[in-house]
Amino acid sequence: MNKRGAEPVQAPPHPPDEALVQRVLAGSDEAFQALMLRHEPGIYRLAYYWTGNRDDALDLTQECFIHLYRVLARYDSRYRFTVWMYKVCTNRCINWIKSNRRAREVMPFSHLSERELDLPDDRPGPSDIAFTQEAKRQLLDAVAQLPENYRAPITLRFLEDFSYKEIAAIMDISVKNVEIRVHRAKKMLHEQLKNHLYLNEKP
Amino acid sequence: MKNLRLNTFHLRKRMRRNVGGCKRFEPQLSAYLDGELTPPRTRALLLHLSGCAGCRDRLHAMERLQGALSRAYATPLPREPQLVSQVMAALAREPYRPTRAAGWRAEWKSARPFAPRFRPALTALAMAGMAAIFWSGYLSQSLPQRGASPTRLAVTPSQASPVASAPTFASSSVPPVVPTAPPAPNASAAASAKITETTPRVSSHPMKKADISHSVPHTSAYRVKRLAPRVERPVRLSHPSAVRVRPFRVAHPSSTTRLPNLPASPLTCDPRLNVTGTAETRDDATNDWTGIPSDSSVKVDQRVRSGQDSLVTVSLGDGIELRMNEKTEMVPVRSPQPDAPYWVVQLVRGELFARVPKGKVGLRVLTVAGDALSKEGELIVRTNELFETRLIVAQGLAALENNGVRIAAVEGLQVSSRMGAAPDAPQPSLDMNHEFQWALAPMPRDEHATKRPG
Repeated sequence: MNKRGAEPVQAPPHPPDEALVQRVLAGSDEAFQALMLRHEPGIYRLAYYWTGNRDDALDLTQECFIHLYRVLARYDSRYRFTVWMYKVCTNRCINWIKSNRRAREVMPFSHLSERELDLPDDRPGPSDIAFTQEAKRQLLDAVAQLPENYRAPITLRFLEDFSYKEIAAIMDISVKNVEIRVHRAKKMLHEQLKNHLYLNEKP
Repeated sequence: MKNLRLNTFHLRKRMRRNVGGCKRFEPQLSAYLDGELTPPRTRALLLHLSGCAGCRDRLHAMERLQGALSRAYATPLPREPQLVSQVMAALAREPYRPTRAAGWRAEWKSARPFAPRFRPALTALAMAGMAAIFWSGYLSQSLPQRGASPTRLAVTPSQASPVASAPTFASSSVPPVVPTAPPAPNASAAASAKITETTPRVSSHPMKKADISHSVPHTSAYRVKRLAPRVERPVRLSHPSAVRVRPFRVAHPSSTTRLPNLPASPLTCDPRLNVTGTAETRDDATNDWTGIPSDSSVKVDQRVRSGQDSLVTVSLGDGIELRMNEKTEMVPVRSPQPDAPYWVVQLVRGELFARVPKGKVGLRVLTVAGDALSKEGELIVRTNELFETRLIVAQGLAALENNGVRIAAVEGLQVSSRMGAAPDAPQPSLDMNHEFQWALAPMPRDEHATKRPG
């Protein structure tokens, strides 16, 4: 049942992120480059699923890393560095969404290419048959329609597989609040997509 | 629901947990699917699911949505290899470099000193401050017991004497001008005696009562300094902007020979100062300065004021004050005697201003012509523009000053004038050069106490 427990435990990277942060604070730009190489795919994915297109995602990722570099001296060692980094970058993404909501007219994910809409076929699920590329686009659009308070936990949960506790740390809310928000977000998504076949299919 | 494998024992035991219905358990479905429920909550939820078909349907729908979301986000995105180099290029153009110091500065700048990461340090700081406050309070309470140690706070006379024997006229034995003369040997003894005498007064502070009870002279160096008599500003000041005041001469009335005239060395006084001191005389033979004892009948109060005549007030006693300037030379001749109840002073030269209050004792001024005394009892008084306030004895160069020219009120003096009018009712038509004849004659002792002349 526990998806996280089913996954193989990855060995911690060496050197750990915290040591790299200390090197950056000691004046090493190479350490920051190493940090960026390590976390750039995740942050780019985060930015991609917040913005919905590649160009904005690239800009937002760059902006996120530059901002990270500026605030790196304020890294709070109580957090795991990944959690702290996603905290900073999620706030950055939410700010981007808020500032670009008016300017954006086209729906996100509506112009995804076939390659980006490709479905992984190594994860068979109960709704393989009905979950098409169109269904994925609609699902991502539905998530994008959520308020940021509900979109962020869904994104963090399914994109980076953060636990509720880590999501609570990232969003500065309680674990119980994370639980409630995730559930409400899923209910909202279900209300929006309940007519689709892949959700109504009986097991 | 293959996970719904609970034995009946737990089912029965947890039956009471199956309260609240779907409203309670439905929000936990997502957490259950995400594996975030604790085991007790999981068991309670499964217990509810075993009897609620609606929640089971919701769980299935949620599970499908969960799978769809997982698959939707599971698509790997193409790598963007230029991203890292772009960011590094942008950072290379940026002058800012993160440092640890910048981190601390930013923390304090963002006004979050009470952030959780600072709380241990702040707590320790507050506790240290409280401990310091309590400790200081304990110290101040236990101070008398600590001060009772005589070896720490008792002051020997040798320690006290350098401070207490500061140059002062009251000690009357310090040579302020001639540095070669050693201080009198009894000076330190007197000073230490003074300190011992005044110790109980100072230590009568409520916090220092223990000092009295222990009868230990609580004389630290600081206290000796405080207890030392206030050093009056000496008359002989040397100042860059000082003006010169020629020495006035005063002699002890009882022994003029023992206290000869002051030497010709000038007195220098700052005109801006209002100097109060006690006169001193210097023996020409030994070149030693000697202050007139305070219990002497002659006290000299020197007040040198700027812009005025640099008057020096000499108190004869009995309230009689003579004011002299730098040109005055005066010798007190005789103190009141039974046959002549008035002071007798000899005005050698210069001007003399006198204030004689009402009383039993009067003043008699002798003037000299050359070396011989002038005719006793005669003063020629000439008015000037300050007739209202003072009279100047022109010929004898002596002036009698009294408020409102109430010369007639001076007891011991019999005043007569050529005008035949009492000087306390001066004629308004007096011209400036009008001369009065003053007859200074002693009054009988039994009369002057009650009878007002004039």
